Amino acid sequence: MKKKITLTKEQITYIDNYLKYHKIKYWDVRIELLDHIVSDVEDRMNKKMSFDDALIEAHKSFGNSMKMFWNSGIEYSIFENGQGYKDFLIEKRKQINRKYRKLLNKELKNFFTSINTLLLFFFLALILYFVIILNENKVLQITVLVGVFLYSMRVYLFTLRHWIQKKKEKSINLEFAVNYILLSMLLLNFLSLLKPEGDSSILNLQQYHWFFLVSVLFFFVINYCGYIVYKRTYKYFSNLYNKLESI
Amino acid sequence: MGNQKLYKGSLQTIILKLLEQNDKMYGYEITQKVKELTKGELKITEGALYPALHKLEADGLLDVEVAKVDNRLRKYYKLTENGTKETVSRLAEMEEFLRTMQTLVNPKFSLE
Repeated sequence: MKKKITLTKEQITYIDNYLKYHKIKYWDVRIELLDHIVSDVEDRMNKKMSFDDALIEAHKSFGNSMKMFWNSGIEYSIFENGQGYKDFLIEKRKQINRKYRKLLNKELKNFFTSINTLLLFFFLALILYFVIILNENKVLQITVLVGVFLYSMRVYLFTLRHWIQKKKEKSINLEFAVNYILLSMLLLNFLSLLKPEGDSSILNLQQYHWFFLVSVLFFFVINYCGYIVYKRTYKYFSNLYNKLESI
Repeated sequence: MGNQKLYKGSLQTIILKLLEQNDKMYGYEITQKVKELTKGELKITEGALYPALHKLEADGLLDVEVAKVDNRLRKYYKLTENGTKETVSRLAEMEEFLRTMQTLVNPKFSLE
């Protein structure tokens, strides 16, 4: 039986660089595209097609249109617009966003149905009630708020580690896993916007204090659950990246 | 080749059914399997397959497994526990749909 054609490491790297050129900057998106294109090209080459022709067919199958153009008066070159890959990425972003929203919702549900986390929630609510509503000691307030904020910053330790290890390749999963934590930061912005100053304020001081308390609690819960989702995602995709590096 | 638009709404059910029969499959394999089973009648385009796969994954119906294959990584999809349950109900829906269509399109063969 005739031996089946498989692409060399160089040919695979060539296709991978081609995808990078078409702005598929996320490695965890490229692995799937790359395997599909390589499998397709190998299949076509086994049916006696040349590597170049097979690659053009594979690009076309993703909805990219190919055009011939006269290159510097010497020869014809084939130009490919990459629209199919752009659409692929747009769809992927949509679904990844859905995936992480669902994972966060699941974690929030776990948070409010487990005794330990519920106790933590009521404990924090009690402390906040004491320092924001009952006792207006500024030093105590700032200490508690800085504590909550620093605790919520844990997630950035991973980003820091990533930066120290000089991992330059981007992951779409890690990007979206941290998105909802970043959104919760907007809440803190609201707190400074709604602060009562002068007569034209939306909230009076007492209302503002209650709004402050609820916002900090909400911020804490989102960050607590978001951290769990991010940590799990980070672990999985770090292992996968190491696997990719070892090829 | 038949009208591809008619198959469009059934793509997710087709994927679920294939995964129910084959344990785990990768994207390219799914396109080839469908082509083979339908003798070229239905060709799933890459632009339709991956959004459907990623949607099923986001919904928690599919799980992913990555393995090294010939100088590259391959992403396999398989049914989760929820995915298996969903497949049963979607296939039942599909059968119901086919029966209704049969009655509408070809009423003389209907026994009812």
